[in-house]
Amino acid sequence: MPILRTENVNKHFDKLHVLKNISFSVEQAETLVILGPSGSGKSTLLRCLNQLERVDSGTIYFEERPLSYERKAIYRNRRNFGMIFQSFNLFPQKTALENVTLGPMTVARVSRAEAEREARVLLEKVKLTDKAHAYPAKLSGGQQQRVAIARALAMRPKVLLFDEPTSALDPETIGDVLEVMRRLAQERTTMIVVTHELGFAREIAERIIFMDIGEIIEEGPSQELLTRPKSARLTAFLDAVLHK
Amino acid sequence: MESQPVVVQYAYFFLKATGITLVLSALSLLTGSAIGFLFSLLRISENRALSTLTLVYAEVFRGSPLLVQLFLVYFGLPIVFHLDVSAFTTVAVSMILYTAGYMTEIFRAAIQAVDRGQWDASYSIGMTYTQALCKVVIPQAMRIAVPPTLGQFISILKDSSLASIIGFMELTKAGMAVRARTSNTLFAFAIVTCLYFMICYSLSIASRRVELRLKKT
Amino acid sequence: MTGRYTFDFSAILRYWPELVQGVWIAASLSVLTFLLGTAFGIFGAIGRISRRRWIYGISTFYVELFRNTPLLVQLYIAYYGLETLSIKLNAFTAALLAMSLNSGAYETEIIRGGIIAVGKGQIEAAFSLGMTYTQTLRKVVIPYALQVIFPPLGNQFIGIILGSSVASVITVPEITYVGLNIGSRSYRDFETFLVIWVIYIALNVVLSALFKLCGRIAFRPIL
Repeated sequence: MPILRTENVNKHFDKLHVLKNISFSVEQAETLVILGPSGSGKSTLLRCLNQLERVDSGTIYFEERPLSYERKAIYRNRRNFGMIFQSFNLFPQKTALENVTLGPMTVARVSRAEAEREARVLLEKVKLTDKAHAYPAKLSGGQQQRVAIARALAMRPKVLLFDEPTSALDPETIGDVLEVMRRLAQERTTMIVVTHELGFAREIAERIIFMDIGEIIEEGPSQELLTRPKSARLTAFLDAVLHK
Repeated sequence: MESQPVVVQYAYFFLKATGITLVLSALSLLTGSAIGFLFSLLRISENRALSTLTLVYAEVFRGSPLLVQLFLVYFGLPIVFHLDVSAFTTVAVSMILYTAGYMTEIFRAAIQAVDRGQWDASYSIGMTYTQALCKVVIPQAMRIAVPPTLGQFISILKDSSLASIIGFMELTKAGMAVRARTSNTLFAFAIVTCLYFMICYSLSIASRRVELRLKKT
Repeated sequence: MTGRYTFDFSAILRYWPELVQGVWIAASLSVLTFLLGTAFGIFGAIGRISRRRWIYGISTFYVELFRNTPLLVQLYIAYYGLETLSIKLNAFTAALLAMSLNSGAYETEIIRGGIIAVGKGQIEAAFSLGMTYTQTLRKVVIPYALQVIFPPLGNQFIGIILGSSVASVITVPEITYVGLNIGSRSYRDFETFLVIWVIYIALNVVLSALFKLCGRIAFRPIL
């Protein structure tokens, strides 16, 4: 049973048809990459999963139960997911530690002592123990993104959603984030990663879905998809990147 | 005029007062801007004395109530300088001094908001400070200064109402006069409020459009 | 023609108890105005970011009305205008009403600016963690917004104190009113108002410095 499944999902932004009959599924412990050029709708699709955006038609199933749009149900659904953003979105007035503990303390009503203990474990996991009391302004992009990962993990989500996690990072710091993600994959965390960066996709993906202009063009195991593309659009995309 | 119906007479009276308000405000803005512009150049100069003096001027005139400044001019001119001036002159002088304080700051901020790179580029091709300032920086600063200046004009329009306190016949005083004449307080205040609102609100909308237009380029 | 003019400050400095009284009245009027104005401002800001058209409409009307008409006219309406509707307010109350509604309009925009400054990103991050609307508001939006609005609110307060001078016109016994009083009794209007001028400037300088200091202490160096 796939942990997450969408069925004919459609979404419009005003007149623009951003998602066209999207149907796909994700298995537990899988690392799925949704690859595609800018404007392909992949970020929108991701944001529909944790209901930051609302679908116009179609159904999203989490653990075979359809998502409800009733307010309380939305809050509960979001706790199944953890999202990591392109622009990190750390809370600027809180230290790294406080960023990680805020969720558990506020939403899960965990005690401060417990939350802090957990937080330190997570910060160690992302190799930022010594930055626990630093403010986001004093951290590099890669460090901020790793704190963001720790923050998402603190809520013990079942699926991690990455929205262009490395697009705002220097090439050097991408490696640190990549390492954390590899570890998470090893630990059998279910991850859906949206990116337009081919190199990054290649490193992390088990399975790839290629999207363009709101449609799923191709999907398959990453090795196969990238070396033997079947569709013209994917071929063009790969060519364009290789010739940069 | 006396033969016209009452409504028309009052309409004419209010319109005339509105015109006076506009003229007074425009005069204050133009003169105050001229002074403020000069002061802003002194403010950014390397001469410590001039810079500090203009800083103090701006802080003093922005940091004290216009009404108090108005009274100072009102009582001061005849007493200290032995000048017998009309209410209009008193009000104009006071508002010009007050506005100059604000305009100094507005122009200073606009000049300093121009990208440092513009100075570098100008110097690189051999311009002097004055040439860079006049040919490159100030033209750009003027564009930046437009929205806050418009905002200041709207403020001046409202502040001009204080002139009524020393008996100058502008819009607010016109309202008080009509109130006394007709004993219809609400009518008078309603007209005055509407007139101020229409003028200031339209200018406010226009200012926002101008700001958007300037941001685009 | 500047002839000789002998300045005589002793005439007004004799009246210093009355000046102190005036400062006290101005201060209490200003503080109350600020508090009420902030209350109006919070409601106004909520209204101005509301998606319901009529709530947005009323709050926008309030803000535009009070920001596009002079405070003096608002004071007159509160004191003389309401009287014709059989609502007789004493000078202080009328001034408080007019000034707080006026200040509230400006504070609405300040507070709204603070809320907007928080930015979608942080709010989405909070939602993604599963936080409810209320929790996000309390734990993420408000702390950050408070820091953003602190300097402009401080300036607003100083603006209220300077603006309180206009209340003298409807006979509120604050600093300027006392000054007019003393001036007419001592025939030394000019010296009186020089002193009054200095008092306001001093208030401005001291309060500005105080607010800057408070801001530095209360808010950790985030930027």
